[in-house]
Amino acid sequence: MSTDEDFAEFVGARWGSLYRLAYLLAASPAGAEDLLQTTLEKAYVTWGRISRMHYAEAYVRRMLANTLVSSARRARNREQPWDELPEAAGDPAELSVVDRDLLWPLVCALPDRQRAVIVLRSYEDLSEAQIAEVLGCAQGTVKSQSWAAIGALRRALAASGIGEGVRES
Amino acid sequence: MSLDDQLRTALNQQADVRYAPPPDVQGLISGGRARRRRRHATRAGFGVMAVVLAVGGVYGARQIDPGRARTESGPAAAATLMTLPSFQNTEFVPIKPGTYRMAVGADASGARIDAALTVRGPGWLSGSQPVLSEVTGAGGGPIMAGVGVYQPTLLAGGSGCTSSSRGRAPGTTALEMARRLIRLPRSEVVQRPTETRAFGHDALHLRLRIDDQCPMDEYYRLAETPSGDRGISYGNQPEVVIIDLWVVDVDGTAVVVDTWRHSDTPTAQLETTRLTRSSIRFETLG
Repeated sequence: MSTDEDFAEFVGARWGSLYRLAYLLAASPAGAEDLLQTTLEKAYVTWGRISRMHYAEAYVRRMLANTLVSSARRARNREQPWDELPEAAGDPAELSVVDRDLLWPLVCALPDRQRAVIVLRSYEDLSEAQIAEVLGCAQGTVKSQSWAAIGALRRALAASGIGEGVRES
Repeated sequence: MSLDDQLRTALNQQADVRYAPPPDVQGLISGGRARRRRRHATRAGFGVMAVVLAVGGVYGARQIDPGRARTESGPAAAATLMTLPSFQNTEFVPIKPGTYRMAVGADASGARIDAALTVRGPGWLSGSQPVLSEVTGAGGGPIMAGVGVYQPTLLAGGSGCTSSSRGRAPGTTALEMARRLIRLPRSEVVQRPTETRAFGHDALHLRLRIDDQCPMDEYYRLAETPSGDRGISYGNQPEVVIIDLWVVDVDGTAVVVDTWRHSDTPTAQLETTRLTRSSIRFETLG
């Protein structure tokens, strides 16, 4: 099988899954298509190597997030690292069930890097170390980005009258 | 339910209901080829993230063949340059062993300076300057070495990366150029310029180690040349590039021949690179 055929087969098989991740990262249908196109074109350039990986799709999924944030890489944020994530599984703070139609626009409103951290953490189930590797930053930066994102979401929910009484991050 | 759980649910639900438009696979392949071509052309024989290429399949059928030109057993100098094929300004495709013409620059009177180069061994890929990839069965491996023949119009300045607009004048004599090459950004001199005889002319040889780390989507641009940029970043990760440079005095015009490699480039590839480099001969086409 030629490289082109192998690449085409991969795209055909994984396009839907990759598009959905691109949509969450880019926060818009048009942005998702642009992001996915750019990422797959980059993947094509090195497909000879990627195709030999055991987890080619996982690698391309990480390329998606990396491509999203790379344009802002030079404007690297200057926030201070935090020692702990703002919230972990089993956090005692309870929220009432929030309709995804309300929460999703708030996620879309986050800056690209913060949204990427949230998507990689909550949709891709990556660890802090894995997210740091994908985004090419320190783990402390992942913590602080996550902290900032969760804080922004809490404040927005509180302003909407949802999640009142929840500890402000 | 915690906010983490809410987010996980919301993101999964949002993704699940999202309709994915059909992919334009041919468009992606065309875009990927264009990206690879730009990357190769602008790096002009060097590159940014350890470019790994597929050498087999469709590319195998698109090899650049010297055709009527002399085969690798013949000396490059004996060929008439204008009759030789060129692999420059082509896509990133395999080059068959044989002798090729490379555009280098011009002398003070405007007469064109070309070079003949005999490619030896497998794994060579085209571009403005040839690079050598690891040959691995049906597919290509990483690019780990390369040869360059060019006349610098500017040398790297600033950080050395492509975003740095502060190129430096290369000097007009071989000695001036060699002295400026040892001051390339983020370079360490392994061997200071030493007089020698190479490629049929007087030359100065020096060796540098260069840190090629640059921001994503940039590369270390050693020089700007009439044929395009001379880049040396071909790793997916930042690498230390070891580069030998010969500043050659071609009848009063200073031009550069280089060979670059990574620290882990296999011995066989080093020998292939050496043989190809040693075949270079210049001709001024007045």
